[in-house]
Amino acid sequence: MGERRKEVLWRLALLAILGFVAWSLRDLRWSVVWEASPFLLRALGVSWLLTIVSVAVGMVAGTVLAAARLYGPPGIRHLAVGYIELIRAVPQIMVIFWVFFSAPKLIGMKLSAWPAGIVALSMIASAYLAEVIRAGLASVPRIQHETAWSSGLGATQTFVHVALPQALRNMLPALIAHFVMMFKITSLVYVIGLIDFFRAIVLVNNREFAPYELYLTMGAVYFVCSWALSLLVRRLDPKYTLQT
Amino acid sequence: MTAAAGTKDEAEPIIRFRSVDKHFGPLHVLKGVDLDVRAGAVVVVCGPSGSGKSTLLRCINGLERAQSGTITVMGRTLDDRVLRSADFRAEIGLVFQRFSLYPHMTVLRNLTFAPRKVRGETRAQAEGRARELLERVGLADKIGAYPGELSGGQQQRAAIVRALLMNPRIMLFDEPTSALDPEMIREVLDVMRDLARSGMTMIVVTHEMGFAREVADLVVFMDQGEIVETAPAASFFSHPATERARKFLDKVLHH
Amino acid sequence: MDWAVLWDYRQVLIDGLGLTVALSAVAIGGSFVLGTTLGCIGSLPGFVARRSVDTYVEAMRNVPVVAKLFFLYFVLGFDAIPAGLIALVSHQSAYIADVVASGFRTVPREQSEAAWSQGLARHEVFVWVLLPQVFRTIMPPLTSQFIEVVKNSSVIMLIGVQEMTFQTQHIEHQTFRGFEAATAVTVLYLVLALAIALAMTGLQRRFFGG
Repeated sequence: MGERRKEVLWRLALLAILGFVAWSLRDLRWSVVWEASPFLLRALGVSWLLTIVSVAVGMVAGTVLAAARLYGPPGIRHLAVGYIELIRAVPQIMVIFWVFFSAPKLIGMKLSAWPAGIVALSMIASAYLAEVIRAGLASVPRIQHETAWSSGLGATQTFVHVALPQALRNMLPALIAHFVMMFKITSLVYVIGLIDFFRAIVLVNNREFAPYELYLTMGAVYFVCSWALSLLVRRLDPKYTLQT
Repeated sequence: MTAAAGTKDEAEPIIRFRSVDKHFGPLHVLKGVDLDVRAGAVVVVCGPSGSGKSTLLRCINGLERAQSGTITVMGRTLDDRVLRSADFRAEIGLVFQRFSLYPHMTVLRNLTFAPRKVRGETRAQAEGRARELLERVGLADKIGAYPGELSGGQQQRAAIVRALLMNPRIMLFDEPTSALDPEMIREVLDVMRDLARSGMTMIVVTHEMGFAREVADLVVFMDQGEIVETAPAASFFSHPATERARKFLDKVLHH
Repeated sequence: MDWAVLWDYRQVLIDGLGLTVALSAVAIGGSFVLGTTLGCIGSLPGFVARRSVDTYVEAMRNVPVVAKLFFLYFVLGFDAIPAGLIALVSHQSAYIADVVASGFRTVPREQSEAAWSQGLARHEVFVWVLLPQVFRTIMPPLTSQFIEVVKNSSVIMLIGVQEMTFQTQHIEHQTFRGFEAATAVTVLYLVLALAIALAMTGLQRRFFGG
């Protein structure tokens, strides 16, 4: 049997299993999910908003960090390495707590959940994306730098016009994969009370007590969002695997 | 086309292909191949890339299975049962273009691993024989090294020794010098030449025409999955019988 | 700032550290065994074996650990510690399976062919020739996976397990010294990550000669 035929059969079998599971769950109180759906969708929007903002900030800060790590003078380089490795070695919840608790000491007032969440997630995103960007920059052949340099471009111009565009193209799969990672991490802002999709599910469940319905919905929504994006990654680079 | 090589014509050939066909999906890689190799013969298989040379070689020890036809090796017709036999496989030595040695084992362990596991030799026995053969190919000082610490030529010589330690009756070489830098090709060919003189049955896929001319009893020329020509080395190089072989020789000799 | 609070709450922190270490150790062991097994199965030639593992990996990777944790605890009714361990193991084993499978892809085909040609049986080729090479190449990504387990173990605080991260919040609630506690706990997490990295480097040196 051809590989294609097997793949089609496999997918049909998976669909059949999913269909059977869905059918056997038909008598649950799905109306709870339906009635809460405006609230849940708004919360899902919050999750996506947090993801997009933190990735956007992370891209800018990550580029600076990556450049500092690759090309910076020793002091700056060590600072960049220290920051990147620290953030990546510590649980994301701890980063969120740390931002939340340290704000009064650093800026003299308590941060509310929104700014604290955005700052913490952006800090996380910039450390991870710095490594993505570093790998992307490292993938640009040295000869490209040398050619640009020889043709009279300065260091900054070489970086912005020659290295960065090529790096961006090479790192697109990793970038999308980390976007997925950040989307999953947003669920942790639960701990500081932001109403993202995860907390919204918990809140509705506290009121309605329909754990099966709500938590299955949660799993399905997270899966579909992340999986759809990871298909895009696989399309761009079949060999890419995300490790976090 | 059937051809014989070796000294005693009445003896049963050690390798016999009869109408062997093989497909890789839509690719027809072996087309009705017939071949006889007498024990002790040195056969060089040559031809353009993609001609089916490696596949032919790999069919001999069952790394590739034919879809039709029969292959008889050392008097046994290849099937699942024969290939399951460790002793059968161990009697056919094989050297690849590269990655033959196990990178996580020292040279000594590379050499003694299979004799101990498959043949049940004691450590002392296996190591004694390994030392002796390594000495002969000039690798005595590399006994404790890892393959990654050896040059390409040294790795290939060690791989040949590893195959020989199984006391094989047939040695297969799949482009053993193609991945080597020019200055290392010679040291490997020297070892192979000595082996040929010792009377080992050898099937060698190679582009080294000098080696073929000097050492081979028989040259098998393949193109597009067919054996186009089988001839003693001297006559193959001096007057090839087919136009395709002539063109091929023109290309490889005057390049 | 009042670092003395750390001394006053040392027992709380030590208890949290102990629980984090214990949870992580069990989860690392579990996800390593399960992930390696799945990775090996996924590398078999059979279609169903490979696609089943793929499906497991995709399903587990695309749902956050917290979501799995809450499902196990609030829906399926597991106790807190088992729920946490199952969530961690099911999550990380998917990543480790993927790491192991990609390790198999880096071993050249010649390796298993050479060993089989020398007369080794399929399972001997697997155990003596393929697996050691797979582990040798995957030590670095495996190290990050193990550190990831320690990090992820922090989410178990959300169902009331008093591991290290939980204690940060506990100290904050009791004394409003969350900053000091969070700093101390951050340092402890760093130490754990470093310990894992060092241990793995040691193993690599010991078994694979660096």
